[in-house]
Amino acid sequence: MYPMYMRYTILHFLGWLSVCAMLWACDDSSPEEPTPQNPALTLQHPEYFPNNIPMPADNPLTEKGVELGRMLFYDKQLSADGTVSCASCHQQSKAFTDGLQFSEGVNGKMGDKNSMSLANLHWTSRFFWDGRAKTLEEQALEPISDIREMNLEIGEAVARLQADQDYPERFKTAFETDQIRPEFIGKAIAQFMRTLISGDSKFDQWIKGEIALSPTEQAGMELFFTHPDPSLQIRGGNCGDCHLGFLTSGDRNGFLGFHNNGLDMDEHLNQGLASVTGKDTDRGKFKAPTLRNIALTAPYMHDGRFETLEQVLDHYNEHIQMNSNLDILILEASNEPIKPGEDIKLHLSDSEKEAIIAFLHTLTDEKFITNPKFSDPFK
Amino acid sequence: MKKLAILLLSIIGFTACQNDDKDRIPAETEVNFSFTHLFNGEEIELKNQTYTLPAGESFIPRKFKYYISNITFENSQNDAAYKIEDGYFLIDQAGKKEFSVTLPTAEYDKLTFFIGIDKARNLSTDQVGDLDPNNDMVWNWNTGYKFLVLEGVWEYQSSDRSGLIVHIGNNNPENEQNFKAISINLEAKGKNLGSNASINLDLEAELSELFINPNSIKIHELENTSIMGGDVAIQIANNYKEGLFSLK
Repeated sequence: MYPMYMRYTILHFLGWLSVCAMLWACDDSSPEEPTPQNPALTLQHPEYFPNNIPMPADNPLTEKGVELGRMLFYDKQLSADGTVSCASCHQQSKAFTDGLQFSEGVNGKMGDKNSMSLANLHWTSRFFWDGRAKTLEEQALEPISDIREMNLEIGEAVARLQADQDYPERFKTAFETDQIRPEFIGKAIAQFMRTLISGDSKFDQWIKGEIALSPTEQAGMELFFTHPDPSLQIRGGNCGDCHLGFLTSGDRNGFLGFHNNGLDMDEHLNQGLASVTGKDTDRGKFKAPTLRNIALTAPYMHDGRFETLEQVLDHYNEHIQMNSNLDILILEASNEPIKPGEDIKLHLSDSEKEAIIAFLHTLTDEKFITNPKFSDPFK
Repeated sequence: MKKLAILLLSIIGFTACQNDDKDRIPAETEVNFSFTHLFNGEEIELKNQTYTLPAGESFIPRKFKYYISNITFENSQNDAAYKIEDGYFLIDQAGKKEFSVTLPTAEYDKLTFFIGIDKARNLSTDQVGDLDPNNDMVWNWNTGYKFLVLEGVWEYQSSDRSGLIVHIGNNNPENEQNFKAISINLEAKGKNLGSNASINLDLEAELSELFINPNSIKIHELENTSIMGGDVAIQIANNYKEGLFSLK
């Protein structure tokens, strides 16, 4: 076991500093500023999650904003026929996914992407598999009007909430006006989603030095975070090259967290990030999602093509499809010396694959999927 | 009238302070380091720009980062030296490219810093400064750090697209191989430390130097395009020791 806890005392201190800075920043007059009726909230998170990521200046976290966002997240009124809410495809028991390859919207319309887990969103950037939303506020509104999802024109969503006997008052407390605007709906839902923090898995307990991992889990963790190097006899699973650090999520800088992971050959590449950037070199690139609670979020990949973690490991180990945008860290990763012209294979042994999967199970956070603060407020 | 007197007094006070400052040597000097990364003299960017390696291969950099540590200022006349303790700085083309250190004011005409992490810290699990394992610079969480990372898309003539992956760390933790000192003559650039409260040291790194001086490295003649250990890593480490950095 590693005495990792102590290392983070300084980070902890910096964290408080940034909290102070945030509170100070909130002093700027904005219509959404916290009030005595609506106290400011700070995110409660493990101290080893980065502390230097500010809240959006125009959407500080507040008690009533989060409360309102939670209601909107679970409210089926926000779909055309009142049958679907955000929570229909983002179910807490499945770490806010739905267990389906593609999700069904109103009128039986099917989407074409796998429902993404909602955890630790404050520490990622660019939302949706293709990164088309710059902010969580922007992301939160899109499924409401998407015809394959909730299919409710946003003006109609506003009208329904405005006509509700309860919501105008709640918007007034949260945003100081009872004149509901689409922007406030996005802000409130984004605030609630930011509070969905998963930081109490077995892996977290290990980081804090509270428990030991089993030898298999430990071996899996080391493989997970290691880029293999046969010349140094360093064996690795190459996962941590894209799923970075304690958060196991993608790089936050620009589009560096988007990768082509060799799912398809050139002729079958989905647009992915290219639909946002317009660049051919971004075809087949998708957001590297957090792997926290990954054992609960099957099926896997942007199109839910793999049903099990074993299939995912087999893909990365021996079924990488060569294409012109394949990530170079996959292209050049192998536990055996790479010979030009050979297929790309990691050459992990069966027991190494099992170890990585054992480690992935340590990322499951039971408290996250049972936390009453995240559950349906209408029940 | 009273107001005017106060105003006058404060002006006198203020100028008096200024005069004092001029004569007094500050107790501490703040040294502000900044790093610029060049490829063939051109400042690099990581957005699909293609550069030519010395051996004629094309290269699109995606990542360039390295550790600076064990910074020491020296006086070549009297052999006095001051080492910055616990100073480990990650320089990242995609992120932070500057840092500052503070030391007691004294005359120094030479600067030495290392690329990489010394043995004591490389094998310990204590994290200070930029040594957080979340920085994508550890081999894994047991075996120490990568000292310098350069990654990008590499092509040569009609060869297949490949990834050039340069990860240099300790081949052998026992002898600190690849942990290299870089010496900079401050005096030659008129950048001696002395009585200044602060001084800027702007360093440039010319990436092509990694492949030419003193060891000429032709990637297309290597067995593969991953350089993470072995002789070629040692050659690159000797190249970063020799020609990579210069003081502006």
